[in-house]
Amino acid sequence: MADLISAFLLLGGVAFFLAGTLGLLRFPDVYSRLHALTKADNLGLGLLVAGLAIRSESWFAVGKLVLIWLLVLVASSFACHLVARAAWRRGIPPWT
Amino acid sequence: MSRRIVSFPTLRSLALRLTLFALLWGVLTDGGVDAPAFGSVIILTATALSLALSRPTPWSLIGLLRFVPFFLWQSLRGGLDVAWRAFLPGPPIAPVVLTYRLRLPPGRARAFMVAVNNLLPGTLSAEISRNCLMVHVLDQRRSTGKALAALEDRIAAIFQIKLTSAATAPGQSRIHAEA
Repeated sequence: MADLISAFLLLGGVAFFLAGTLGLLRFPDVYSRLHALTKADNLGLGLLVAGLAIRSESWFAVGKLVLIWLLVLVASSFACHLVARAAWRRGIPPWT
Repeated sequence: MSRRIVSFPTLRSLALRLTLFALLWGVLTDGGVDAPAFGSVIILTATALSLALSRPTPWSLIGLLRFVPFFLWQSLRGGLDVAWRAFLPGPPIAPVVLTYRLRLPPGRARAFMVAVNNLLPGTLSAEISRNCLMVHVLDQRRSTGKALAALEDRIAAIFQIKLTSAATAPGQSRIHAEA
């Protein structure tokens, strides 16, 4: 049962990473692409972490996984803002 | 604010950060039982450094605990929202840049808002100029103003900030499309 839930979560995570990459390729400008990357990858990694946490052997491993998710969240969110701000300051107009 | 009573919040932060770094060390070293003396030195150094680098600010545990499920739910919504748009032909997006007048004061709370905003459905923080946040919105048919005001209220609750200009009705009135 735990294996089934874990597999479901892991596959879900992979699907969101795929969606994020697809958005990066298909969306028209830098701002929209950032939307796809940050939000889909946040959820994708969250699902991966949840799926792996179910399989992990100790609570320390669960703690490490959650820590990884939080650190990636902080880094990707601020990186997203900095890329958007750099584009905005260069005067790159948003696609409408 | 913490200036009124100096010792209590500092003691509270000291205890809290000591606990957090001890937990972190435990997690990283699978319990930290192999080298307790070395671990203690690391934990104490980390706590001292953190107090020197980042001053204690008032915050609310209840505000934070209420924020966690909200954030998880919004992350799920944000990921789903952008994922279906990425898969559909089109893709179905209608971006616009809105100017949102921030009620949160400059500092940690505002930086927190800028970061969390990037993970909420359909919004992205592009720039802060004066007290306005430029928000890139993936779909302008959404009522982004209400969502931003609600997020601001929740962040204010975490940092125990009283939002001053709450008299302004939340929603579209404080949102103006960029010319």
